[in-house]
Amino acid sequence: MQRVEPADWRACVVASMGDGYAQFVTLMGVEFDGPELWLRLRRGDTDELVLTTTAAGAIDSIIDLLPQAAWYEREIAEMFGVDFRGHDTAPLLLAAGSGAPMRRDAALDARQTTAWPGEKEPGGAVARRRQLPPGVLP
Amino acid sequence: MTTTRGVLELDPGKCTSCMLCVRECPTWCMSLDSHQDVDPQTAALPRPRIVNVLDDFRIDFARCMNCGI
Repeated sequence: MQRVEPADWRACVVASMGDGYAQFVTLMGVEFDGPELWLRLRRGDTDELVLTTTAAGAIDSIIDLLPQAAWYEREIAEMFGVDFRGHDTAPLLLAAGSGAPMRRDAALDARQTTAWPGEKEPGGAVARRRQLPPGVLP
Repeated sequence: MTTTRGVLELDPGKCTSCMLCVRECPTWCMSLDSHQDVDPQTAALPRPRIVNVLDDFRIDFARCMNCGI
């Protein structure tokens, strides 16, 4: 796995393709401290390379290099709120104004009106502190 | 497919009502009620143990995605 600075993202993909990693496998969005991109490329039958970068702000699109990444970039743009420069990701999957539901700080509508079963304490004890599941804001 | 994620099942004798599964469940398909009581095996001791006793455990299989937690 190779960690890449966001500014070098596109240049690194170009370099990796020049090294023979020209087959697109997948592009994933993952959130740890912020949204990240994980790009998996393949050379030959089994040799794979994973490039990762943070994508908190805008990042260069790679769809002119790897057209297969277009739908993945769209999903990441809509689900994680990542802005891909050079790729029109006007919402198609989600209704406008849905926000970025895969981000940790996103409130999921259905979870605001339903009681979380995990709120109870073992044995019916009184909770020391209130725990919250993903998708529910304090 | 050659693998399976198994079947969700409760073993009442082993459950300690710790709520871990209910809290980890990504689809909120489980609910659990319990209360605290004296452990019958230690009831005669000077300081009997207090244990959680399972009252009710429900799984909504329509929501369960067999995630394997």
